[in-house]
Amino acid sequence: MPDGGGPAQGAAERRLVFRGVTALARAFRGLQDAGCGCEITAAPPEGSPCGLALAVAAADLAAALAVLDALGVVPQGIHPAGPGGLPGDGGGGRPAARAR
Amino acid sequence: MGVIYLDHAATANPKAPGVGPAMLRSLGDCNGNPGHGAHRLSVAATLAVYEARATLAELLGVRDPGRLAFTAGATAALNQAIRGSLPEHGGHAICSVWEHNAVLRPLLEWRRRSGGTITFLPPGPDGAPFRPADLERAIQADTALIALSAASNVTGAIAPVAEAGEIARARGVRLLVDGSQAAGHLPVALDRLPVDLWACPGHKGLLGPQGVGLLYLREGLELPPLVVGGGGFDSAREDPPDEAPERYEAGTQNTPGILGLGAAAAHLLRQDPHAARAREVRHLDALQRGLGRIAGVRLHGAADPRRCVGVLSFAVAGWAPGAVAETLDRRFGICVRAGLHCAPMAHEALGTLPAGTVRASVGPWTTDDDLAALPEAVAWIAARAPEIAAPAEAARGA
Repeated sequence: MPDGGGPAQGAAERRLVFRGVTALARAFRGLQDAGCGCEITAAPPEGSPCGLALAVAAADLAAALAVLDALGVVPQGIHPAGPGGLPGDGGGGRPAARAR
Repeated sequence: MGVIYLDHAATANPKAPGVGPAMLRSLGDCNGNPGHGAHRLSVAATLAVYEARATLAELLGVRDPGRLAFTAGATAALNQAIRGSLPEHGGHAICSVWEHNAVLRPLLEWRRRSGGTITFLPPGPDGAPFRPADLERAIQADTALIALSAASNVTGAIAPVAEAGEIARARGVRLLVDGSQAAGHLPVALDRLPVDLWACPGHKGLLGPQGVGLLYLREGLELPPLVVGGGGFDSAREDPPDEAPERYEAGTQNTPGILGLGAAAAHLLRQDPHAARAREVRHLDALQRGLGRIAGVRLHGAADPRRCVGVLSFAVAGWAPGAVAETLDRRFGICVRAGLHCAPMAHEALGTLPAGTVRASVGPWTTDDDLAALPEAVAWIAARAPEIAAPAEAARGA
């Protein structure tokens, strides 16, 4: 699990979606506190109820899910990243916030 | 003339350090719409709102911050809880006579609309809000809700909420607690209390700004939302979100208020709640002693300050409460509240209808000089004939 910087964008990452922004923010903070790299991104093409997703490196997915499981925050879905970044309903695929 | 502020039960003054800057931040580097966008300012606002929620959850002993919904205030939270808990037709509710109109009026409106019934618990002995045995007896097969203040906004008397919760839980009845005068005054761990719903404002004991409050819903409990609308997600769906807190937070949130309240909660987390409570009891004791020895002054409520939050009601013989408050303000610069304090049944119980009482209430920055000034000023008033007519509004308790 990298400590510092988010995951590389592209196919080597996974995007976790949550029902609401509170659950997403709680997951973001939990991963941040655990030293897991993640980024808040616009919704993946597959959709996200709250229009946002958490991007984590594919290699770190299991560790991230373990942190979230301990926290009691369950992602509603896990999506592969598409090529060329993260087009979503926010547009542009730019990471909006990055956990250290 | 300086201002001596003894109206903290109405709203805390001043607010906690950091509240103003936090509110301004919401107009600056996180001035996006929280939960309604993926650009940097929206996400910054989303995270800032979450941080405020998480800080409040830590302060109030709530494991999952999502169980705290932000509302427009305690009244909005109480309306959501009451209207979301009572049936459309018939049913039964229980409350005490000490309830604020924020509880009474939604209950009375429900009674008119549904044909349901309400049992009002009578006062208990020695200023206690009610007897738990009376609560137990009042529960019926169709009781859908028990709504109780954690502490009276008229006398400050603390209710046996935990005991009431055990009774409610044993009988399978939902318990709503109005924590308006308790939040920030009494140490609380909501997840460990046997309560289902708990409402409070942000601007009183929590020392935050006005216009924001909280509704706590115990794990697993969801209500029909009172207000529905855009939530920033699942927009194609006809129904509002299923889960707290978004289910109860339709529309754009009061981000300045929420961030201010978060800063206030962070301040409170740095304080020792038990030391703060001990100080409050000491201050109330000083006020009781100071006012209690003035001829013509009558104190209302529990005699033991350990059984009250920092609120005290009194009357001065021959003076309308409104005239006392006005004289205290104009002549002495002392801010207190007069009237019915939005709790008419409490005054029926106290025998202080229709004019009500004068209410003084202390806060974390109340000084010994403040505590000495009030009895001195009231002694001056009690020794004289009324010189200011009671304003009609004050006499009605508006």
